[in-house]
Amino acid sequence: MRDAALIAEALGPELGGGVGLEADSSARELSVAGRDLATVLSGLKSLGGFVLLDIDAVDRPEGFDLSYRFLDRGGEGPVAVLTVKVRADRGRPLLPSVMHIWKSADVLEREVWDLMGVVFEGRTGLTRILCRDDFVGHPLRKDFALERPDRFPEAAESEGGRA
Amino acid sequence: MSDSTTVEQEDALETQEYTLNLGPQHPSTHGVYRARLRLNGETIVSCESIIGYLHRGMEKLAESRTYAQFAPYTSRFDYLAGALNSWGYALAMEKLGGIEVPERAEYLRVIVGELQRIASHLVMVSSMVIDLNAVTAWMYAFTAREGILDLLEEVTGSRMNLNYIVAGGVTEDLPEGFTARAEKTLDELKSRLDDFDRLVSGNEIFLGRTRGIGVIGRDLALEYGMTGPNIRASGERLDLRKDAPYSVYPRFDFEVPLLSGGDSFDRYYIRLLEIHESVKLVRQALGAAPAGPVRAKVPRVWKPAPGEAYAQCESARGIQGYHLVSDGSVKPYRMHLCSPSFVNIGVLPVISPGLTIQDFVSTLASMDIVLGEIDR
Amino acid sequence: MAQGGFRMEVTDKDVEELAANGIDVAFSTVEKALDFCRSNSLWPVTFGLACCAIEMMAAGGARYDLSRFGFEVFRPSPRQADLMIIAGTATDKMAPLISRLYDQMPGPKYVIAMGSCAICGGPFADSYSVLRGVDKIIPVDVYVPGCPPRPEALIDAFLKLRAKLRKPEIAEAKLHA
Repeated sequence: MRDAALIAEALGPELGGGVGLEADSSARELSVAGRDLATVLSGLKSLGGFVLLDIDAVDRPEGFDLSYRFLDRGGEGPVAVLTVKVRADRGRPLLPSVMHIWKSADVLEREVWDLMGVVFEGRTGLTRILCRDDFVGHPLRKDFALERPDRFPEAAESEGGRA
Repeated sequence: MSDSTTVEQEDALETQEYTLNLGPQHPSTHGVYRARLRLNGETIVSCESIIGYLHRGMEKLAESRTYAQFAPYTSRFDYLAGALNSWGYALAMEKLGGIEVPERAEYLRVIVGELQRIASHLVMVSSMVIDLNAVTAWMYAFTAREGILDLLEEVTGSRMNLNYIVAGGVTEDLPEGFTARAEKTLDELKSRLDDFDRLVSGNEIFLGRTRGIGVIGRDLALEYGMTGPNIRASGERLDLRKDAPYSVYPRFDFEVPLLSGGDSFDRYYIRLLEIHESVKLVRQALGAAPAGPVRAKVPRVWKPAPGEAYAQCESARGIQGYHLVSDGSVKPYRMHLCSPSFVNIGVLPVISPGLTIQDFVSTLASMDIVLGEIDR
Repeated sequence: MAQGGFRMEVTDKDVEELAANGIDVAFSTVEKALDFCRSNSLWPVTFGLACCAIEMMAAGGARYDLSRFGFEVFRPSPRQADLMIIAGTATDKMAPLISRLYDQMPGPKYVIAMGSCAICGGPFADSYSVLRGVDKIIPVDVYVPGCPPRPEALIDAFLKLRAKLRKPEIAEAKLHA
């Protein structure tokens, strides 16, 4: 694994000015703004030694916090996870898609869209992957109520969602 | 003879591609996985994976259960290797709350975890051969698995969905005389595995159906984020037990098998090799486990400080990650499972074109996916 | 029978009389006879959904051996099967397919709801995507509790189904006042 701050430094020249990148070495995290996400992730790809394992979203009052989990196999010592954190606006949850850079992001982004409602721009095929195609709402959002009345799935006309 | 005329006639034939659904109800999809295949004759032109038929909303349910109440759910993710799922969740909880696990518990975790890995790999090899219609071999491996399940039942009380590895350690100590019985079962396992190996691995039909089929190169596997035995069969040595050791794995002497063909046969054979390594681990752990408590004291009403933790575990299918976010209450604010099978199936649409349907079945079987952890 | 004439009814007394005369004969209706045969040869459709499927496979394995009852012939196609074992959680996405597969099975057909999820949604009953029991969409003959039920429990379910086939009255619903 490599130190998060050093990774940020190494990325610096590639990113150029105007890209804010914060590093937290102890938590092994890089924080980046949504608009710079694709650039930073592209930079990680060029650095080499990373594997994208997971994209995870948390619904916070301030917005949707996404964590891109990379396995850092470079450098010395044991492999470890490097997390790239990015926030998507609650009102307009948009982020650039990175599936053209990191192939495993295809299914991972679809899952985040399906369950959390974050839209990834610049890609095709952003469709539901886990819920039914006619499902209404994004279940992992905090305003999606879990209790639901008994119903036959066959009789489900598209009444509004539960949220 | 009009050979050339026949060829011309064939070229003049109009053919049509058609769409075929493989699954979600299918004996060979290992669960409710659906592949929408576009076929030209028997050859796949394109493949689309459609999942979600087992989506139970477990991540949402986690937010309305306490941390301890959710622990039994974790075995239902990857139900073939439930103990390893529970281990990952326990690691995340321990990281979140700063809980230390007693030494004996770590050894017991290795014992049960590796026994579970053996059971899981046995299901994989047996399912793979039965997909290729070798029913006897399936019986052999399943019966071998019964011996392992007996051991697990002795320790945990359950054959499946063990609920044994919990935050702070494990729930029970080993029963009296367990070591002797385990040694006997592992000896029997070796002889059954040898039978299975002799029956299957050199079989001409099996080799014809798996050698050179569904080749996933090392670079492709890395690009698609594959982990676990699948990538180790493609020549990339990536195993958390060695590369980022947790628990007491550093104290044991074991190898991580590596094959380089990346075809279905290698993905099958590497699991046989891994079973042998797991047997070594269980034997060593049984011999070396120190006396002591098996569980740290964790309060019944556990309120970890607000924060988050991400912990990883080398599951039978790859690297499993658990993300736990706490808001200071008794229930998780967010629980997320990073599932290796979910990422592993991403590569199927890429390697399928050009395969025939039967090759696809063989490849899918060799990927060893479990829909419980894909769909959650 | 000794009185001559033709009767539609055959009583136990008649059977005893015949047996006393050394004639062993069984009387039945065509339905009952066929049901007896069916009960000894249920062909399940391979329909494992989740964890219970693994215990179902173990029940078909060498140790628990469904074969000794005649039930080991799992058919991939519903058109060749007469028993559907819902082994696992029925989700909203899967429900139309369960229904369609059930419709594709030729009658007479039976359903075993194996496991807590198939009976009532199990631990996932309050989820947004889980069917609270598969009997919401198809009729169920036998419920097997467990999470997962042991293979022996599944075999017990088969045997109960077998008994139900031979004597449907045992499965009467009782209304408690």
